[in-house]
Order: sequence, then structure tokens, then C-alpha cells
Amino acid sequence: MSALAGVATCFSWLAAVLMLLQVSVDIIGKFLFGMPVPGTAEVVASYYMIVLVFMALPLVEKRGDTIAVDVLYERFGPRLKLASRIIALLMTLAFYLVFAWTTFEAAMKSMAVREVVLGSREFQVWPSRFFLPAGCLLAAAVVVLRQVAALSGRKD
Amino acid sequence: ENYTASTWFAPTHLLSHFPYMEWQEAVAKATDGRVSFEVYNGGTLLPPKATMSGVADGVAQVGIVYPGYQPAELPLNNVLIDASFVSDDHYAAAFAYTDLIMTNPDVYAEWAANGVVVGPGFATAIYNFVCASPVFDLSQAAGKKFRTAGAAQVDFVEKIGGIAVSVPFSEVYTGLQRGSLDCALVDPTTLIVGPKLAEVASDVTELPVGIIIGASWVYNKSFWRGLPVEDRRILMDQMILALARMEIGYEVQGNEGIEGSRAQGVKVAPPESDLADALARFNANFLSELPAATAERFHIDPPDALLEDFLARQEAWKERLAGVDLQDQDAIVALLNEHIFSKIDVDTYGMSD
Amino acid sequence: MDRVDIGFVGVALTIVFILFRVPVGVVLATVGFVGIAVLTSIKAAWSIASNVPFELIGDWNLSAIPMFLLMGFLASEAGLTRGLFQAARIFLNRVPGGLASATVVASALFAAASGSSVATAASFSRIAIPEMLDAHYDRGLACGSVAVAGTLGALIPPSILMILFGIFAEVSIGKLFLAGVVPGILSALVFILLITFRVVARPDLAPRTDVIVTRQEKLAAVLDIWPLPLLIALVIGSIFAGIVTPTEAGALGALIAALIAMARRSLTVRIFSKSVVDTIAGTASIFVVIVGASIFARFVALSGMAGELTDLLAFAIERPILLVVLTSVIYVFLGMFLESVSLMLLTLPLLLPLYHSAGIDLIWFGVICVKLLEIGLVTPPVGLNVYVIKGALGDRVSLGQIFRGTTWFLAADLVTLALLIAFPVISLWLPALSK
Ligand code: NA
Ligand code: NA
Repeated sequence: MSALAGVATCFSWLAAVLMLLQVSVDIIGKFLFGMPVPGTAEVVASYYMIVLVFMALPLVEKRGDTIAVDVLYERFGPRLKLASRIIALLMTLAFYLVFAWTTFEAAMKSMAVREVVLGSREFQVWPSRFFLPAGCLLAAAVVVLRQVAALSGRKD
Repeated sequence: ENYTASTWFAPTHLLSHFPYMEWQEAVAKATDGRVSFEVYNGGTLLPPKATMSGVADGVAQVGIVYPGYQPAELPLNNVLIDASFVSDDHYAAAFAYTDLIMTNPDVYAEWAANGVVVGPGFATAIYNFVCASPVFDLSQAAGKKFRTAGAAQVDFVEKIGGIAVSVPFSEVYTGLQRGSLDCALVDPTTLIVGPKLAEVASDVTELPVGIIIGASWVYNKSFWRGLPVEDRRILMDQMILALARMEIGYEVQGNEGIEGSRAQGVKVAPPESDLADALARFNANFLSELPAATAERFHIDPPDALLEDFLARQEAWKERLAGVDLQDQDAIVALLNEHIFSKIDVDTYGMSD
Repeated sequence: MDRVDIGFVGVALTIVFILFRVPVGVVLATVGFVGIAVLTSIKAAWSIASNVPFELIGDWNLSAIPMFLLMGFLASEAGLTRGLFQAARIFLNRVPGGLASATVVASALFAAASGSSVATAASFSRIAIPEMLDAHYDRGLACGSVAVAGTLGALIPPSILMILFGIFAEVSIGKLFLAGVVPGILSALVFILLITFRVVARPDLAPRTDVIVTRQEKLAAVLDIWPLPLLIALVIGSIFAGIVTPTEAGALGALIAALIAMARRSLTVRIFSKSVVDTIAGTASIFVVIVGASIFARFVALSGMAGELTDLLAFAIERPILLVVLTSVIYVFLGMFLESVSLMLLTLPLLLPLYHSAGIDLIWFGVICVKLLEIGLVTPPVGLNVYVIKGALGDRVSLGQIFRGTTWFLAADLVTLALLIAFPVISLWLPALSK
């Protein structure tokens, strides 16, 4: 679980740092030297943001950082709590797996046509599309492994 | 029956008002409610890049599509979009593009291959420099920051010594206001409606630096083919009318943008000869390189014939329009029927690939 | 069951699942997906799920969120923020709840540099809340003040919501910006009054720190606080000087925060790395909700629910105030479930014709609309500012505690809203002056 989340986190971490550096260099270049870094807006939007967000999903699941409302849950009895957790688990898995599937299809289609975005320059974006299914799939794996760990922990 | 239509514009924007809001009312009336569309504006149903595939998948039955978002799927359409950088008449650009997407088998086939039936196109008003300081000659352009969209605009801005900056359209207003931008390449309607750039601009240079062209109505194939022929005829008639009204709308609002800006104290003037010459030289060079450049970019055979055809059709339209009042709807509809739609048989149009 | 009924069933199911502690983004996406499939076809739902997330997240404007988060994390991890609250403790020593009020003032200042409420809340959630918790402030008060102070982000210019409103309503963005200034300051003042009165009534909410401070300590505090005002001044200054857009300001702010921390020798590789990890986790947890909301918004649109609700308002055209009040009720209600941009994009096309026919000043309505959308940012169950704080603080506070903390502020905001509705001059005075 940690290894899966760790590898994905590295990608996301790198995307955040590169975003920080490239946007900073772009601003400084633009205003001190009249030389923006070409394609900054496109790289930030189509690569850094995508990688940053989707490759961080396994980390979010590992840390249990998903945004949920626990107001009522805290007052539930053990049976309702169990029901809540099963519903949440199934819906979360459905969410990640359906997204992994749909975005994988979209990525394959995008690769087949070598998708580009419109910007100041033509810019290939199709490789970035594969980070969506990858992040979703890894997050689903972390959810399952976390559940298995919790169950086996209880048996011990 | 009630169907779904999708645009990513505000309902009052020209590209929603004429081809969708007003059009759907006319369609519902003409078909006695057999065909009526609920229009989802502002991208609330389909965002721009997802519109063509969304229509093909039946999320909406019809939507507006900018082919620039799908260069890989619509390479020939993108050749035309690139070539429209040299257009200097929005009627001619809109009508020549409409003619090609609906009657040129290769251009039409690109749409059919993506699961949709394409209808008439659109063209915005011609783009100009809208600036927060005077940019009428080359020395004034040097070192200035221009908001650009698209490779041709970037190349031209760099050619005249400017800095091409890529910022979202929503940031143009504050950019001009605060000085992070000196100029934006925009169509003149945005001076007094939408972002109202006249509030923050001081100078407008009447230099034709591009236009946006696209397909106003792209239909889900099975929806189109499922309609009885009398309803398809009504849709087609109403599209022709809306096409004319939309381009007249751009003419009127473009003029209002220019006049309204003048009234607010903005200087609107043509460029000095050095800047105008720079554009003329750029355009000549651009056109001569375009077939090879687009052939490489879009992995197609050099589209020399298509480009010549597009330019010739625009010239022909400019000649035809020279003789009529540009705001006379009936005259323009008559010209459209005579030169484009008389060639199209609605009974079979879009019914087979 | 007609489509509006399906829409209402979807909303009801959404509430139930959210209360069953299913992650909010997952609920919105799942209900939205199934709802679209029921209303149109599975193929259509599949098409939306394939394309919307990529197009939504691949947006340059949204990149401000991680960068402002990172700026806050760096500033707080490197200890840059403590000084400000040390100074606040000293200079607002006698003001009850001084740290919370200082947060409101600082957020209002920051709002003048940020177009986004979420970014404002994101920055201060890491800067102000830990300090207030360390000072033994009530958790609800600490988080609530940051959540609502964050809502000043879109009311005080620059404002992404106002630019969107200006484009959709075809009114002057410049005037909208001017119109937001006084209501923004008024909102901040009302928050500060509320904090002061509440803490006077219940001193245990914010323990007084009646320490006797020496002049030396005061001087040390002032010398220690320079980095944060400098950071804010550089970020605000660079936007107003036109050097950067608010989006770029996020990266610039994070860079400056890192440089200041380095200069103070408080930035280690470990601290930097941890700040980035917290940033990406916080960003991703917010974006799961944004993705879910974008699919859910399409379901709501297709259900025609928004249209149904607007139809009910048609009778109010004769009485503009009634129309505004009813709109407010609907926005507050829908604001519970929808994120602000989706809510605005869904309702404006239906509301604007009504407002045009009622002859209501759209600049005034723009301010009220943004204020209403801001209220929606802190109402449960879908309150993005609250989630931002939760995302930034993790296990230190529960969502329930934050939402409870915002309740009092919501009441105060309704008072501000009533003032804005009753006295249009509050909004329209400044734009009129500029003519
Ligand atoms: Na702001
Ligand atoms: Na809410």
C-alpha cells in the first residue's frame, strides 16, 4: 500500500515543484527579460495539474484525507456504522473504477489521434491523459489494501 | 418532442443568441412543437472540448463546435481555421467556411467520421489590437505584451517585436487594467459587451489579425436521421436564417463596439503604413508556407487545392456582398440560398456517410 | 416519474449518502452519473465521465489552488506566521477574540490579492488556525472565522466570480469590482463585531492572554512579523502593479515564502518536502469534490430542477425586493449542495431574464449574487471553504466542528445580506462615485 502510494506521490510531488518553478521562471522571464517560458499555461494546465491531482489520489486514500461529513456518523450505532462503511467502500470503489475505465478509454482514443491542445504553440497532451486512469486505479488499490489491512488487523 | 442543445457561451452572447436561443424558438414554432430544444448555455452541459464527442454520444442532440479543439479529428477543418488568420471580412469567412463544410466531400467527411452531421458555420468579427497604450506603428509595438491565441497570432506578434502572452480570456480585462498586458487580440464586440474592454483600453488598432470560425450546429447522427424530412427542411431553413442574422449581429455589434469605444474616448484608427506593411508581408509569407506547414502538423497531404478554394470562395463572397446592404437580412438570405443552399438536397443531406 | 422528480430524488439520495459518511465527491459523482444515465442514456453519462474531469482539472485558473496552498504551508511550516499572531496577541491583547479578528483583517487584506475565496481560506487555514488552536481558542471559532473570512476573497476585488458574472450578465466588471469593495469591508466589520460580542459573552471561547509584555518583547514581535506582511504586500503589490495575474501570484507567493524561509534559515529539505506533500494531498481532496460537483451539476441541469425553481419565481417580477429575497432563499438552499461556479452558471441563465424584466440593477444583483455564493461556501453539506480547511488540517478538526463554528457567522452574514438588499446604496455608492 505504502509503495503504491509512494510511487504515485513522487509524480505528484514533482508536478507541484515543477509548477512552482516553471511559473516563477515564466513570471521573472516575462517581466525582467521580456522572455516568457513558451507554453507555460499549457504545461501547467494539461500536465502539472493533471499529474498533481490524480497521482495524489492514492496518497489521499492512504491518509484517509477524503472529504466526508461525519456529523451524523458519530452518533450511529455499530450496525449503522458498519452499513455506512460498506456503502462508502462500495461507492468509493465504483467511483474510482468507473473513472479509471472511462478515462482510460478517453486516453486510448486521445493517443490514437495524438491529441494536442490549442495554445500559443501546438502542444501534445495525450500522454497526460493516462495519469487519470493510473491515479484512479492506484487509489482503488489503496482503498482495497487499506480495507484488507483493517480486517486482518481486527482478526489478530 | 423536447431535445437538448449545448453551447459554452452566455445566452446573450451572439454565438448563443442567434444560432440557439432565437433559433430554437423559431424551430419550435415552425414545427408546431414537434421539434423543440432546451438550450444549455455556458458549458453547463458540455464543456467546449467535449461538445463534439458529447453530441456524438447523445448527451445533447446538437451543439456548437470549435474544430480548433479537435485538430487530430478534424485536420482539414483546422487547415481552414489556420487560413482564416488572413481573412478580413467576417461574412466572407463564415459563408465560405459554411460552403466547404457542407459541400466539400473531404471536409464534410471529417465530421461524419466523428459521428455527427455538420450544419452551417459561424465567424466572429475580425480581430483587432485592443490596447492600453497606442500601438499603431512598429516602434510602438516593440516590447509590448500581447494576449494571443493560436500559432499565427503568436508568430505575427513576435514578428513585429512584441511579446506573445498566453492568459485566459477572463484575465484580459484586469491584465489591460493593471498593465500585465499591453494589448489583446480580440474581436471588437468585446469592447462594449461581455468583458467591456473599452473601459480599460485607450487605443484600438484596426488591423485584421484573425477571426474565429467554427461549426454553429453539429447534430447527433441518429437524431438527424430520425427526423422526418419536413422537419429537417424546417431546421435547415431556420439555420440559414440564423446564419444570416448571426453575421449581421456581428456586423452591428462590431460597429457598435468601435463607435461605443470612440464615444468613451478610445482612439480607434488604422495602423501606420509600416505596421500594415508588416502584416501584408507576414500574410503573404504565411500563406505560401501554410500548405507545407499544415501537411506536417496534421499528417495530411499538402492541402494546396483546399486552401486556394477557401480563399477564392471568400473573394467571391466579398464581391457578391459588395452589391448589397450588409444589414439587409433578406438580401443576405437570398445570396446564401442562391450560392450555397441551392446546391444542398435536404432530403439526402446527412442521411448517409 | 418526470425528470424534475428524478432530480429531487437525486438530491435526496445525495443528502442521505453524504450523511452516511460517503466521501462527498464520490456521492456527487455517483449520483450525478446514475442520474444522467437515467435521464438520458448510459452512453451519455459515460461520455461526460470520460471527458469532463480532464477538461475541468486541466484549467490554468485552477492552478492557483495548489500554489496558494503551498504558499500557506511553506509560510506556516517555516514558522513565518507565528510572529504575526505574536504581534496580534500583543497589540490586540485587550480585544476579546483578538486573534480571530486579526484573522478577519488579514483575510480581508489577502482577499485584495486573491480572486478566489477557496484560495484565501486555503492560505489562512494553515496560517491562522494552528495559532488559534495553540492559544486554546475554541475549535469552532478558530475554523469558523477562517472559513467565513475566506469568503471575503470573492467579494473584495479582484474576483473570479465577479468576472464570470460580468461576462454572463453583460455588465461592467470594473463597476462590479468597485461595487464589491464596501460590502466586503462591511462583511469583515460584521464578522469582527460578532467575534468581539461572542467572546465578551463567553470568554472561554478565546482565553485572554493577559501576559505583561515588555517593550523589548514588543519590539522583538514587530521585528519578527515582517515576513508575513512582506509576503502579503509582495503578492498584493505584484497583482496591483500588474506584474502578475492572481493565478501567477500563487506561484510567486509560494516562491517568496520559500525564499524568506531560506533567508531566515528555517527552511529544511524535510520541511519543504512535507509542505509539498501536504499541498498535493489537500489539492487532490478538494478536486475530488470539484470533479463530483461538475458531474452532479450536469445532472441537476438535465433534470430541469433549476428551471422549475425559477418558474416558481415568475410571480415576483412585480415586486423586485420579493424577487431578490426569494432568489436569496433559493441560492442559500442550492448553495448547500452546489459549488459556487456551477451554481452561478446553472442559475444565471434562468434568473437574468427575470431580473431584466423586473428592471433590477444588475451591478447590485451581482454583489448580492456573489455574497450568496460565498455563503454557500460555508454551508453544509457541500461547503468548499470548510473542506479546504479540513483538507489542510486533516485530523485536527472534524467537519462537524468547522460547520458548527460557521453557524454564528452565517447568522451575521444574513444580517449583512439583509443590509445589502435593504440599502442598495452600500453597493452602488462607489461605482456611482467613479463616474
Ligand atoms: Na478578491
Ligand atoms: Na454549501
